[in-house]
Amino acid sequence: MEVKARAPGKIILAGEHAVVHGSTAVAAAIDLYTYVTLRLPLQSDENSDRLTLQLKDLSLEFSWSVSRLKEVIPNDSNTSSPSTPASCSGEILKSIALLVEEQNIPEEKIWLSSGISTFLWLYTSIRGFSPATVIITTELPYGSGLGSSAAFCVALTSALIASSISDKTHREGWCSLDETNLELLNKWAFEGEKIIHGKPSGIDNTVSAYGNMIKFCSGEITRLQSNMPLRMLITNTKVGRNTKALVSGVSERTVRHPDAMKSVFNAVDSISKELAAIIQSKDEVSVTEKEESIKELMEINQGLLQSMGVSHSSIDTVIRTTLKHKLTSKLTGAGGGGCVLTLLPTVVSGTVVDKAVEELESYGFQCFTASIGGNGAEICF
Amino acid sequence: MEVKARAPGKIILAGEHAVVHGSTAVAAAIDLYTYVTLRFPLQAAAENNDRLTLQLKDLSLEFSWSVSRLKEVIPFDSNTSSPSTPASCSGETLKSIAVLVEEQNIPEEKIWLSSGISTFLWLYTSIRGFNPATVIITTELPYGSGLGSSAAFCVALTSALIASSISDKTHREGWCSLDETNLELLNKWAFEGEKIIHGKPSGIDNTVSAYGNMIKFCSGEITRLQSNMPLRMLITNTKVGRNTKALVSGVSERTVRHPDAMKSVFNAVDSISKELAAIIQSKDQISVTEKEESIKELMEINQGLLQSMGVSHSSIDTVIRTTLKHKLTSKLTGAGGGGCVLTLLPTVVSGTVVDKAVEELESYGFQCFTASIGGNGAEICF
Repeated sequence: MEVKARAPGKIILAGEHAVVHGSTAVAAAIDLYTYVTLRLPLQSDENSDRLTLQLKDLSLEFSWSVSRLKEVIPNDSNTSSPSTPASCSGEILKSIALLVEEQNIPEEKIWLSSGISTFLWLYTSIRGFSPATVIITTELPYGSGLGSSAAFCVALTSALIASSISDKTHREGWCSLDETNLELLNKWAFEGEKIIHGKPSGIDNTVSAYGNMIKFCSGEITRLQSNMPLRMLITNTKVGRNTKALVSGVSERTVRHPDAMKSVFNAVDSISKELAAIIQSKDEVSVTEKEESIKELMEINQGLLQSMGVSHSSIDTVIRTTLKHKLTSKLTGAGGGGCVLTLLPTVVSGTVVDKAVEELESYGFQCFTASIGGNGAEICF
Repeated sequence: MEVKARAPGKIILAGEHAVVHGSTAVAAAIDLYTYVTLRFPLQAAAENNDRLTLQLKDLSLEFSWSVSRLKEVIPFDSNTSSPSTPASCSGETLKSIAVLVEEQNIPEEKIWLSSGISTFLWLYTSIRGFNPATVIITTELPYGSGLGSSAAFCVALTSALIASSISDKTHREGWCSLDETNLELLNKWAFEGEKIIHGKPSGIDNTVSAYGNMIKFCSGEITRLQSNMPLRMLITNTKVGRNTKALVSGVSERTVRHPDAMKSVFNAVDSISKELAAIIQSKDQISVTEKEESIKELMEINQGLLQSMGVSHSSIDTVIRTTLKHKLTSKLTGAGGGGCVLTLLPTVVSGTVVDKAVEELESYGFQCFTASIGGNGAEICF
């Protein structure tokens, strides 16, 4: 038997960094997915007593015998059940880390460790110690700020939850889960994110689970209903960065220049609120007019991010290049490299976009076009 | 007899554009000067002893009027105007003066000189009446690039004119500044001259040029600042012309569309200017290098905010990107959209680094000057 799930990545439309200092941020799902296939073995299968994880894009496979898992991972049915998401305790995490270390993770991929730990914990928490093969593929680049780890947690959890849904209505194709299950999977995915990220905000998994867009301010997440189509060019500069260092750099600048930075954060807050209003607006305003406003807000936000000191020469190259084609761009996420968003207005010609992409790729950047604000987690039987 | 005067150009250190919306700005004198030499003809019949001649040496242009022609055209009302009571040039008088300017042969491509020549005639006749002379102008300041060349012209000219009537010529050697009373007088006259050239000038340019050092400006109020630290900048002229009015209204239009965000942007700029003014004047026991680090950071924040306002330009970004490679921080100065860019040169920076940066900038066709910031104002020399 096989169950599939997919979950989208995300972009921050406005508010990154400032959000740490109390400003509002707006995030949205993008139609680039992480796919999880959960394959339950037949009795006669040779792997009928193993749990196997295949990372197809990396051509890596990790496998544990179910009995080994039972040995190491404590199973306390009093504190944890599939329907009551709980944090992974430090002790359990240590035990799981042992299981991960027993695998042969290539040196240069050692960052996979926390993801594999998350996999083991989410799997055993929701499906116990049942054997299976779990296959992961993704369209999302790792560590680039597009929410690949959250998409992984959400897609995995969706597949796990789906495998226990008794009402298999044999619907064709991809369909979303109901509100109750979405809430459940979002909570589990958040716990998974905690293992990978330590103190995640919850934005990534919420956007991945529910899709569409969210507004986020001081810990409070509000789901938004987008009333307009939105397409972006996403350019991955492939420049790695230290997110923690960038975040603390902004904090240090704020200590040195509190008044100026407070106003910078206020400006970002206004931008996010205005952006959320435009996107949800049901006014008789044309899409082109809305896009013009969004473009301008992106430009103002980018200038403010430069004031915070989180831009980078690679980001500036993308901005400069797209500007030549009269397109507006803004870094998304931590900055210092990573990804850049370019608004693609509905009236833009394909030729213009192709030319911009050609120029960007000549710098070694990676480009995707994406629809913004689409579906969240979905399953397929 | 000959009198010389010189007046410095200026840069805006912080606050441009936002200042129009109520934020504080900080401007400073730079040691690039406009020089005016005022030469009175001897009584014995030199051929020009009945003419007023203006020589713009850098442009190899000369304009000349007979004194009698000037008397014909320019109304002389000793009741309303005297050298010690600066007054605005009335619309009528300006029209008359324009006639005199048109009679000259100004090359088509230099037609922007007209208002400057009108200003010359009016300042000259207002302060020195209808006396013949030859006035020679040279400048180190590029025109129309936001470095205050028109104000420096007005201030230097007025300084020379006022100096020519100073009876107590103590025969001091070299350049010396005027006393407070004369400085106040010349600043007011220079401001009137700026009005002819610019329409509604803020008064920042002529004040900085006259008094030197630095000033803080907010909602029409100008405060002179005493700088307590050396400051050197690389000034890069992108040579990209721009429409200052269009840039200023562009910011206003963006403010109408996004009032909340832009208000905060302007507040941030206000904070930057105030902090900058405090650092520069500070007598605390902080090292110059620490002060420079703060100024660098404030410049970087200000530049991001100017980008938010939409007044940067690809040429400016090129300068910023280039200097950044050499670990130097830059910020546009003035209207943006081209024009000049400031790069802080810390006291500890090596000459080699600066040379490399300049070499790279010049390879783009930009023009570079190094300048000391906050130096002397108007000065005269007998």
